Amino acid sequence: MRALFLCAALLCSVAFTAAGQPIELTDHRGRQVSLPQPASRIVSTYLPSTLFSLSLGLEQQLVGIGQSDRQQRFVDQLLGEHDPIAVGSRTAGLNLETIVALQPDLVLMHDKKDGIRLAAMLEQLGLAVLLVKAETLEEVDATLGMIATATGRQAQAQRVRQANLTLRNELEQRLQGVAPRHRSYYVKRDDLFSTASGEMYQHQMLQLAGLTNVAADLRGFFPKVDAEQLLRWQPQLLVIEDDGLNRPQRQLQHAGVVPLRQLPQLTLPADSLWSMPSPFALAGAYYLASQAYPQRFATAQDQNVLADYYQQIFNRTDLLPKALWP
Amino acid sequence: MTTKVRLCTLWTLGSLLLLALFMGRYEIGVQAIFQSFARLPEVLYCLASRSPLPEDLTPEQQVFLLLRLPRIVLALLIGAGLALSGAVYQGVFRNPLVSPDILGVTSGCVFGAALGLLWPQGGWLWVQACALLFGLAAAFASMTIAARLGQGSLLLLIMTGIIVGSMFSAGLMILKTLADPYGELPAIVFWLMGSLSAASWSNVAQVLPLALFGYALFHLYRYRLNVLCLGDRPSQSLGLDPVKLRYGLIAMASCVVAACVASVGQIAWIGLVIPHMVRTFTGSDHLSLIPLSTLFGGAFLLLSDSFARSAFAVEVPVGIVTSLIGAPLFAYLLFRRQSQGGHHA
Repeated sequence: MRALFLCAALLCSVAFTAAGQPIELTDHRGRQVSLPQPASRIVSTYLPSTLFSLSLGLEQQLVGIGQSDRQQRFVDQLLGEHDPIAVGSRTAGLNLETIVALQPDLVLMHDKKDGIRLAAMLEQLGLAVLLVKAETLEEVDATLGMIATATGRQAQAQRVRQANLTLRNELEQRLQGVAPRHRSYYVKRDDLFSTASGEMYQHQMLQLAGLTNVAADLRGFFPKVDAEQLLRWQPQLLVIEDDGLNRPQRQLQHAGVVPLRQLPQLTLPADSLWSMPSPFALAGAYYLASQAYPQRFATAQDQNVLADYYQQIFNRTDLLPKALWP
Repeated sequence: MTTKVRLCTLWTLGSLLLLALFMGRYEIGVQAIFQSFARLPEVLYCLASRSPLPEDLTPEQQVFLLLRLPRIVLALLIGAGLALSGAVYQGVFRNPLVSPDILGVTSGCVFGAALGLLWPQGGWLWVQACALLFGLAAAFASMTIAARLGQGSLLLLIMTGIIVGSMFSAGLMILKTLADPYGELPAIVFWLMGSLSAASWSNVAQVLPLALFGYALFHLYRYRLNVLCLGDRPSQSLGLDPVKLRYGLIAMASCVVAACVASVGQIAWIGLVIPHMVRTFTGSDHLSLIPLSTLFGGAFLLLSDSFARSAFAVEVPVGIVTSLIGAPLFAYLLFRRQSQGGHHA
């Protein structure tokens, strides 16, 4: 954990934090961003940065969000009556005039090449843009610290970190001595044969949940494998991202891979958003562990750990996936 | 081209341009727009010389001069370039169903852009350079293979175009499977759909020279294009070398298309249908077809993009708008022509 905090401290170098002093930040691309004061009008251009903002309690400060962010029940519930303007998406393009018209004092953008280009254009117009990268748990922590500093929400960031630390310790304690670990195969939400490679966040999540990723040696993003390879790996259980349409389950019925149909299936609930890196994604690892090793999470107190976790971060428990509601 | 048609065209283009200047999500008044124009030379000079922008620009002037105006100019250039190339391709191939991507230029560009996006090093300019290079490479490969296989055969040229286009499409599919679905893949899809949402003066500077040079060349050669449309033997009897002329025109048209696609991605419909639409009321005479296709292509993309950026807070992919506006308009023109007893050229 110390490494996590060190990483956050390095990435988010704050030169001045005293009241009235400018906030100087260095983002994931090494860009220097200066804010005269903590940002109070924020445009988040894609879902992960929206999740970070919401985890920091910035619902009312969000004036613009990604085109389909609100379709997520989690985001919709947290925003409530507040109605930020949708500013576009990466595939259809961001409407830069809309963003400028919202007069934000901070724009959160992904750190890919198209994001860097748009950030340069917005900077030319006098807007502060932070490039966000959150593909590992370490980067999640660093990003949380960076946005918290930019918005003056360090106390809330500390609460989130504390909640994560507690949950992680709890998880490690429960899984102590588990051997051998279950061999698991991760299934992408729309395709039985697309899995998580060893360099993806989902691989980290499986490890935390005490599971062995059979595709750990693969590289790339959601690499495709064929049925024979899948059978050769001999997974003991399937971890499926649920999208509400049960596409992988239907593939399983028609693919002719009979031994796989009989495997236990752990499903990440569709409305959980645990399948992507976010400040509360650790809940996904805990949930998977509790399903994979139910004997180690048997007490009534264990059932409430995730509710407590959400209570600590969001001050409410109704944001938990519906499948976990009592 | 009659004076009436000229006036009508210029009036339409002028009205659209004026409309586009005032359309946008950021409210900019008439006075601010006029004041912005007065600052344009200064801003362009600063951008060209990489010096800081004037500090006294108002937010309205910044939005107008750095976002809206370059986007309008780029829409005009891209629309004009694609329609112009489409008209030339259709003339050279003597087939009104030919579009500028027949030689695989578009596939090459999109493959190049995807490769540039996945390449760990390099910024956005590198992505655009890859798109341009691979687009030109596709056209060059198609023409070279066709020239080796059979001297000047149009059919062979189309077939080699299909082969090269398929190769690049396959390459693109491979790159898509390698791309991070939440990282580079959305950027690749952005290229496939095409958008002017990130238009800037640097895009204008990239497209303008080729578009102007292309138009000047095609304007000069429009008489010869008419002769070429008569067939190879009549062309030869009138002193032309049809093979050389055909390859030269295709190479230049491909350069214009590659520059357009490398700048804003793949925008469907315009290169195929605008020359076709113009032909419904001018006939196949390239003396009118070349300038009118250019003007209408620019006007059409300007209209579509103005809607795409202003109708909603979010961007509507411009390819959807071009199809939604263009398809009924084209159907109407065809219907009107048929009902007047005309024959489609």
